[in-house]
Amino acid sequence: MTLQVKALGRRFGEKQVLQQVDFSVGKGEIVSLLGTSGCGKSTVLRALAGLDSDYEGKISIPSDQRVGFIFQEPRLLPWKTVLANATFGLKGDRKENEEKARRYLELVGLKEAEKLYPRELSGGMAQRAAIARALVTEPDILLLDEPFSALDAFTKMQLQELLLKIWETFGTTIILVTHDIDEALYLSDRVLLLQGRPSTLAKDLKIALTRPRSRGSAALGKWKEDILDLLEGKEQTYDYSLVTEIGQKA
Amino acid sequence: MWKKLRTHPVLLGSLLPIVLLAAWEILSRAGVIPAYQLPAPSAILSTIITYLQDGSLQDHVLLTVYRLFVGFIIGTIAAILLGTLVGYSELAERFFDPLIQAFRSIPSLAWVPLFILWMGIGETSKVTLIAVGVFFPVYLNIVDGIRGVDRKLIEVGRMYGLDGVALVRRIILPASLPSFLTGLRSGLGLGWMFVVAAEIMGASQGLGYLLILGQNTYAPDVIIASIFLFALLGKLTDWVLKIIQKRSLHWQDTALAK
Ligand SMILES: Nc1ncnc2c1ncn2[C@@H]1O[C@H](COP(=O)(O)OP(=O)(O)OP(=O)(O)O)[C@@H](O)[C@H]1O
Ligand SMILES: [Mg+2]
Repeated sequence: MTLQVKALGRRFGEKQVLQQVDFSVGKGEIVSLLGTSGCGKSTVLRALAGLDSDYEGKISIPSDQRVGFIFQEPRLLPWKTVLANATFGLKGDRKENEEKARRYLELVGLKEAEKLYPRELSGGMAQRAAIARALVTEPDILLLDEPFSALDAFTKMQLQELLLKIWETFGTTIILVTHDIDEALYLSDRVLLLQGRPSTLAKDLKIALTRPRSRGSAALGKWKEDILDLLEGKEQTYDYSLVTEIGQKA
Repeated sequence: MWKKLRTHPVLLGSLLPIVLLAAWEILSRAGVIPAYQLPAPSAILSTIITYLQDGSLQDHVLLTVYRLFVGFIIGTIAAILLGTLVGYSELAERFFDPLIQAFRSIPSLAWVPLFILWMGIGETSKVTLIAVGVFFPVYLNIVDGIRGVDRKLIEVGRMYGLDGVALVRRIILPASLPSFLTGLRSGLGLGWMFVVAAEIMGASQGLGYLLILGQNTYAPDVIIASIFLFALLGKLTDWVLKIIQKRSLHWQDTALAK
C-alpha cells in the first residue's frame, strides 16, 4: 500500500465535513474521488497533501514518495512567465530544467506561450500551465483536484490521454477528484464515492475494465448509469455483480 | 485647437500654472505685490542662476541629496529586516510589534531635541532622523504586504518543498513586492520632509540651510528658490522610484496595467 487513510475526519468549527473515511491506494493505482459539490473532496486531498494538518484520524504515506498536487485553480505565480512557472518545482541546472519544462509545455499545448505572463493567459491555458508545472517534477503520487474542469471537451480528452501516458511511463499513483463521471470511469481503477452529511465513504467501486478503454462503450455507459443512481440514492437499481463494498476489491 | 487641448497629456494641466505664473510676474512688476514679500518669478530664477554660477547651489543640493540618500538606505534596510521578520513570524510580531507601534505614535519630529542632545547637530543626528522617518512607512507596508500574500500561493510553495527562508525568498517577497514599493515611495516622501526638518534644526549647508538663510537675511527669493528646488528634487526622485515600480511590477494584472 502506498497510501493509507484511516478514520479520516475533519471539522470546520461546528460543522463536521468528513467522518470516518477509510481507504487505501496501492502503488500505481488510479483512484477517483466522486461526490457532490461541497461534500469534502478537496478537503480530503488537502489532508493527503499535507497542506492541512487539523484532521482527525491517520494518514500514512511512505516518506520516500514525492507528492505532486494540481490545484482546483491554476495558482500560477503572477510574477513569473509560463516557462519559469513550469520550472518552479525543479532543482539543479537551469538549462536542463528549462528543456524539460519545454517538453511538458509542448505536451499540454503551450509551446508558443512560454514567454507569456499569467495575466496574459486564458483560464484554460493557465490551468494547462499549472498541469505542466506539476507533471514536470514527475512525482510518485499525483493528487489532482478537478484539473480538467476548466477545459473544452477536446483539450480535456487530450490531457486525459497525457495523464494515462505519464501513468504508464512512471507508474505514478494517481488520486483524482472530479465531477465528471465519464472522466472517472475512463481513467480509474477505482471510484470512491463520498456521500452523506457529514460525508463518509459510501462506495469503493472497482472498475474492472481493461485499458485502453473506449469512450462511450456500453460497459462504461452501464457504469455511469449505476453511479448516477447511487448518487441519487437509488441503491436498489444497482447491479451488485460489479460492486464491492467499502475497502474491498473485486 | 480645443480638441488638441483636451486630449494632449500635459497641455491642459499646465494651463493654470502658466496663467498664474504670468499673473504673478505682471503683478510683481507693476508693484502690486511688494518684492520684499514675494519677488517676481524672474527674480527667483536669477537668484537660482547666481547660486548656480558660483557653484554653491550644486554643493547645497548634493549635500541634501546625500543626507536623504544615506538616511533612506539605512531606514529601508532596517525596515526590510524587521518587517520581513514581523510579517513572517507570528512570534516575532508579538515580540516586536507592540514596541514598534508605540514608537510609531510618537510624531517623529519630537525626536529632534533628543537626537541633537545625543549626537550633536552633526550629520549623525540628521541621518538618524531621516532614517526614522523613512522606516515606518516602509516597515508598515512590508508587514502588510507579507500578511496579504495569498495563502494559495504559499501552499504552492509548500507543495514544492519550500519552507523557511526559501519560502520567503521565492514566494513571499516577490508576492509582497507591490506593497514594498508603495512603502518605498511614501518613505521617500517622508524622507524629504525630514531632510528639511533636519537641515532647519542646524546646518551650515544644504537646501534646508538656504531656507533659514533666506529667513535670516530677509531674502524671500532664496526661500522660494529652495522651496522650488525641494519640490523639483522630490518629484524627480519619486519619478525614478515610479519607473522602477513600473518596471518590476509589469507582471501585475491591475486595471492600470497596459
Ligand atoms: N477553510 C475552511 N473553513 C471553513 N469551512 C471550510 C473550509 N474549507 C472547506 N470548508 C467547508 O468544507 C466543505 C467541503 O469543502 P471542499 O472544498 O472539500 O468541497 P469539495 O467537495 O471540494 O467541493 P467542490 O466540488 O465544489 O470543489 C464545504 O462545505 C466548505 O464550506
Ligand atoms: Mg473542491
